[in-house]
Order: sequence, then structure tokens, then C-alpha cells
Amino acid sequence: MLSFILQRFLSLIPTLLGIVVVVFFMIHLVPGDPAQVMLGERASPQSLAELRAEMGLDQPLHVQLGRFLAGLLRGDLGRSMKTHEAISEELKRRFPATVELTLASMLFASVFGIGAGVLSAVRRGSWLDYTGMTASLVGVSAPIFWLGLILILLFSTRLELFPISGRVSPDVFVPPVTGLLLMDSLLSADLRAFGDALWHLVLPAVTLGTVPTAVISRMTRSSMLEVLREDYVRTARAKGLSEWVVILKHALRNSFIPVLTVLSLEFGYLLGGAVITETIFAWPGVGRWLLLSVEARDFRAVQGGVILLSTVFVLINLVADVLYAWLDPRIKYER
Amino acid sequence: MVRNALILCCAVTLTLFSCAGRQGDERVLVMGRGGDSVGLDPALEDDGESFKVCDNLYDTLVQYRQESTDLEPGLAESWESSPDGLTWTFHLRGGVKFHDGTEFNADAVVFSLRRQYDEGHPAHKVEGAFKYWKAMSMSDIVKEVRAQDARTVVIELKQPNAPFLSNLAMNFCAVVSPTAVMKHGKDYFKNPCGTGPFRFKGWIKDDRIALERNPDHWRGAPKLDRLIFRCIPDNTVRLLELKKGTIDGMDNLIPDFLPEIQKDPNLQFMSQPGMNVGYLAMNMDRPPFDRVQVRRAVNHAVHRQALVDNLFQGLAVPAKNPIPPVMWGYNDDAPGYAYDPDRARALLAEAGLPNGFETELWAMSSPRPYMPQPLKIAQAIQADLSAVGVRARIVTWEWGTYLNKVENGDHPMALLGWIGDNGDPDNFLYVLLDKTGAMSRPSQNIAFYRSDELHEVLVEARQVGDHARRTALYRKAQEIVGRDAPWAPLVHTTQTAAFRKRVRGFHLHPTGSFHFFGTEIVNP
Repeated sequence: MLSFILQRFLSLIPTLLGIVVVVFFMIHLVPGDPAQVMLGERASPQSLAELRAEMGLDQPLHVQLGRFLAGLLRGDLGRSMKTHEAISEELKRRFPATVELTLASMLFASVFGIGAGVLSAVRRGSWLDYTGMTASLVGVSAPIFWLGLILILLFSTRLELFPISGRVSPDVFVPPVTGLLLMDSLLSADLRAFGDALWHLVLPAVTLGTVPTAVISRMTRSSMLEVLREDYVRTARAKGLSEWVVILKHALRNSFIPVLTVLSLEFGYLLGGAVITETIFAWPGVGRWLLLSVEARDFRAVQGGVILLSTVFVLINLVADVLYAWLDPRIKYER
Repeated sequence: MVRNALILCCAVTLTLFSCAGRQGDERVLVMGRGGDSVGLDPALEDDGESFKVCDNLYDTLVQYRQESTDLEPGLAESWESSPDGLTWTFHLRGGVKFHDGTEFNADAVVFSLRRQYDEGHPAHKVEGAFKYWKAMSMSDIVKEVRAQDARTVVIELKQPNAPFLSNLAMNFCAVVSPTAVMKHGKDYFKNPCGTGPFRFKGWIKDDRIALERNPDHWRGAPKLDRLIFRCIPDNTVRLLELKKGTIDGMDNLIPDFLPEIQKDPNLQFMSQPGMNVGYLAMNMDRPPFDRVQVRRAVNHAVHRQALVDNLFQGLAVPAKNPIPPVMWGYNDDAPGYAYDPDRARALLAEAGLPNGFETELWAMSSPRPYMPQPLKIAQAIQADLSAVGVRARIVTWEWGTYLNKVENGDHPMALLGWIGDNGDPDNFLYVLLDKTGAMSRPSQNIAFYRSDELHEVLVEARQVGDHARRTALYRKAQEIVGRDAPWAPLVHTTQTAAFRKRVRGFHLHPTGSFHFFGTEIVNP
């Protein structure tokens, strides 16, 4: 098992290096000159040339790549061409917001997705099953943009149950420790801030979590249905175990591998794909920052952001692989 | 057991939920905007969102009057220039302090300006560039800035330059605390310190910037305790927050929102003519646009009022001059070109093109403040032109590429615009239409219009100090441009904002500044 983990870790390095190089070249192939975008209508030939030189854009591509890789080894992702802040700082500031939103969404998606999937499988063919599967179809088809606005209109504007946007109310301030507001407010024993942050988290988490819920529920249902047909389930029932023990202890665990795959993939997608949710709910995360950086042709920021998200995605998959090995002792690294 | 735990969780959560909300007695104004500021060092930034916040943190030597581009004393109580216009002396206000408690004096003014051009200045090397100092060509204008004594600053110019005083009212010439700049160095842009009516309190990137009142401001204490700028990217969500009252104001309204805002009894709608122009430039280096009859024909063919009514929903005025009506020097007597397709066809025939001709109409793909829907505008103009026989194919590029290409003159006809910087007609006319700009590429004079007559008028207007004489010269300049028609000026868009009714004393400004000094919240 240890060698399995080690080998998976080592395979990370060529993967990440490949990602870095591909991202670098992709961005430089995109048309548009960042200096021109920054200066807009006011660009004069002299100011354009000066700005380009300052940003290091007048160097040949391979020199720029070399400089970037050298910096990467030192943990230096360079400076944003727009704000001139260290990109690692920019990411540190925004990543916790994305993580908090993603974790909340995944919690919502896991609980409701697995729950709905199990219920649908167990009560197959019933109204519960059909409702659940129809709901998941709607969930996966509804555009997030529309869903977010509808939830705001209904729950924030009409029913006034939740706030419209943002992470906390304007007058709430939480001393930053981890950047995860729920944790930081507990660390500073500010229950009011905790409640405020939680209140603001609900609608964005539901919006972002809807698609994963749908996907997870479907996968859970189909995986459970297969497992429930197995002989050992029949044996467990024959032994006189209660139905729920059979389902939750035996069937669910064994049906979990495909569900785990879906969970880890969805987690990865959510991390990078929360741009729309972040825009609607004014959530200051990495997704939206990445979008703005692309628009501004801030190459370095885009590189830094994509590298971070790719790395996290790859790490999540690694964790999922390790969990597979734990869940199913038959899984090993084949040489 | 599980059930009890669940009930307990719900109870706790509901209790916590009810605790959020605004503090009672504080007068807090929350301004919603679509994007975050880039930085708060006024000399380094060039985006409106950064300036909106800087407007409240800093003061300038001279400042714009309310709702006008005329100048009044700011940190300088009075000033005079030498007869040859080359030496300007400013007498500074006494008893003014920076937010960090240090003294405002002539050295601070010199520091704020010198760091932008003097390569040996300790604060000159920064990440980024002093963009506006360059854009306004200040190094071609200013020879030296020095302190004569603690309350007198002398600025020497390389040549007489009348717009220079207006430049001093712009954000990039704001006075910063030298102590704070030297202390924070490269991080000064996140730790701003000026003399303005509000002090910097905190900044959560992409979320909000919080300012608090400076009770010792030289104009008196502001009426707000705190001023918060919140970043809410989606337009609809921003409007919903405004309607709910969780923000107090927003700007850059989409015309579609207008009916909603106007019928809401809790909201007030504000508008003001903007200091901008949207235009259709004709590249005079590319036939047939080298013929004046063709250019005049295009001017007669475009139905400007229809554009305003249909594509701007009334939030614009048709343009006949390159400068907007809100600027001094605007020539309202200029005849302009009436919508007259018959006259357009006649002019084309005169030019030897009775059957019209084929060409391209370039438009950018991203909305601009002077042209929120450029492709739709291009389509409307395309239709107007085809009605007189000019068959134009629409060509579009993404913004950065578009600018690159039009400044290199790749276009026959292109849409573009300009937002004024300093309230001086020179800022429009010289930059966009003078022949010096068209001598090389890339050029900001994208019509590549070269008129010696206009050049003489504009150069004299730059250098002469007398306001009446300058006004007369700019009026003449507009006659010349109107006659030669290198552009078809299209529209001047209106600036808009909406506030809760409880917000009083806020005024929009032609330069787009957002000053909250005199603003207050009146509780119903």
C-alpha cells in the first residue's frame, strides 16, 4: 500500500510539469497584447513599448518560460501584470473562499446525492425513485446562472430568508487565520460572525452543489442497484440482519468505488468551475479572478491560477486512488 | 438521539442566522460596483474603480467644482503664473495633516509629483508604471517641481501649456504622504495615506474596501462615519441588493433597469451628460475616404437620433462635435450634419460614386462606456449606409486586438470613442485629431486626419493662457473638424447612478469622479 502511494506521488511530477508547459504555451498563443489591454485607448507607441519591457514581454518565449520555471522551483509564481501583487499572495487570498464554497457544496451534494441515490435504489420503481431521478435530471440540466438568480429571487428577495450576495455582511469582520470564515470565526469565538458566514454560504453552496448532487445520486443509485443484486447481500439478509444495516454497512460500502470516482471528479470540477457561482454571489474566489485575468491577458496570473487548480485536482485524484486501495484491498499498483 | 441532535442544530443555526445585520447608529454608505479597484496609489492606476476610492482618500492642489470642469482651490489656496506662462506658483493651505498624522507641506507635493518622473527619486522604482503621467505627456510639459518654502510650490514648464492646470486636478496628481510611501514601499498601493475626507480602513480583495471618516479634514468632517465599496459583479444581483437596501447606491446602470428603478419609491435615479464621445472614424489614408464628399455623405446617412432612441434607450445625446456639450468651449452653433439620405446620395454622386461602393465597418466586440452595444450599433449604421448605396461588411475583433489594428490604420471605417481625462478640450481635440498624432503608427488619430489649419489653432490654444481666447480657438477648431468631417461623431453617453432615497447630497461629476464628502444618510 505504501509503495502504491509513493508511486502515485512520483507520477505527479511529470504530470504537473506537463501542465505547466502546456498552460504557458496555450496562453501565449491567445491573441491580444496585455499592454494594449491595460492601456486601452490611451496607449501611445512609446507607453506600449515601455509597458511591454517592464512586464518582460519583449523577451523570446523560451526565455520567459525558463524564467517562469526557475521561479516556480522557488515557489515564486511571479507578479500579476495588472495588480503587481505576488501571484502566490493573490491566490492565498482567494483560494480559501473557493475551498469553503466547494466544501460546502460537496457536503450538500454528498449528503443529498448519496441519500437520494440510496433511497431510489432501495425503493426502486416507487414514486420516490421517479421523483428523485426526475429531480436529478432537472438539476443537471438547469444552467447554474439561472438557478442562482432564481434562488436569490425566491429566498432572498421574496422570502427574505437569506442574504443576496457576498461572504459576510458589510459590517462583519473576521480576523483572517485560515481564510475559511467559518473556521476563523470559531477560532476568534465570534458566534455572530459564524452565523453570518453560514447564512451567506447556503444559497451559493446549494447553487453550486446542484449539478454534483444530481450526478452523485444517479451514480449511487445505479451502483447500489448492482450491489443489491449480489449474493452476499442475500446472505446478509438471510442471516437476519436488519434491512438498514444490510444497506448501509454492506451494500453502500461496496458500491462506493464508482461513487468515489464521481465525488473526486466533481470536487475537482467545482474548484475550477465555480466562476459563474462566484460571479452571481459576489464570492471573491479563484474562479472569478482567473476569468478576469484571462480578459486582462494577465498571463502570469492565468498561469499561476491554472497551475494551482490543476495541482489540487491531481492531488484530489491521488487521494481518491488511495481511498480506492483502502476500500477495496484487491486494488494494487500493477507493474 | 440523532433526531434530538438534528433539532438542536436547527435551533442553534436559526438563532445565529437572526443575529446578522447592520449596526444601528452608524451612518454607513455601501456603494455597489461591478469590479474591484486595482490599487490605491493614484499615480499608478488608470481604472475608474481605483479612482472612485482614491477620490475620497486624497486631495489635489486644485480641484473641480461640483458638477463642472471649472477649477477651484484645493490643497492650494491660490496660484499664479508668470507672464510667459512658464512658471506656476502655488500657495498651499496651512494646518492640513495626512491620515498618518504627518504634516502636509510643499515637500509632500514635490514628492508626490517628482516620484513620477525623476529617475533618481527614491520612490520612482515601483512595480508598474506611472501611467497617467505618461498618458498626459507630463514629462513633455513639466520641467521641474520644487518647494520654495514650506507653503509654496513652484512648477516650471518647458513650454506654456494651458491644460496643465486641469491635469493637476486629476487623480494622478493627488498628494500622497511621503512618510507612508517610504514606509510601505512596493505595498503602498494597499496602504494608502492622503489628506482626503476619508481614511483607509481595510481591503478584502474582490470583496470590499472600507473607509472611515477623517474628522480633521480641512473642509470639515464628512457626514458619513463609514464608506464601503462592495464588489458585486453581476448587474442583476447588484440591482436586487439596491432594491433590498443592503447597498445604498450603484452606477453604470444598464438601460433595461431604468423602468424598474424609476417605479421603485425607495430609489432615486441620477443622470448627467458624460464627458465622452463615441464616433465613426473614416481612415483618410484609404480611398474613397480621402474624398471629403464621401465623408460628408456618411455623416448625412447615419441616423443618430434613432441610435439614441433604440440602442441607448435615451441615455445618450446625438453628437455633432468631437467634444461633448458638457465641456466649456463646446460650439453649439456648429451646423452638424442632419440625417438626409438624399443629400448623402447626391454627395456620393458628386464624388464620382453614384452607385455607392463596398467597404468594411469595424466594431469592437466588448462594450465600452461610450458604446455599450458596439455590434448592434454597427448593424444599425450598416443599414443606414446601405440605404445610400454604401455596402459595408462588419468586421470585429476582441478589444486588445481591435485597438492594435485600428491604431495601425488597418481599417477603412472604425467605431471608437474617448472618455475625457481633465475636462479640457485639448484632451479630446489634440490627442484624437491633430496631425502630429497621425505622423506615425500606432496612432490615436485613427482617421489619420492631417490638417495644418487645425494644427495651428490647437497649438495656439494649448499655449495661450487667456480663457476667452482659448474658447474662441476651440470653437473654430470644431468648425474646421465639422467641415472636413474625418469622423461621423455619433453620441455622447449619459452617466447614470441609482441611490436609495435616504442618500442625500451626492452629485455625479462629468469626469466620473465619486466624491462622497458632502453626502449623508437621512434616516426615514
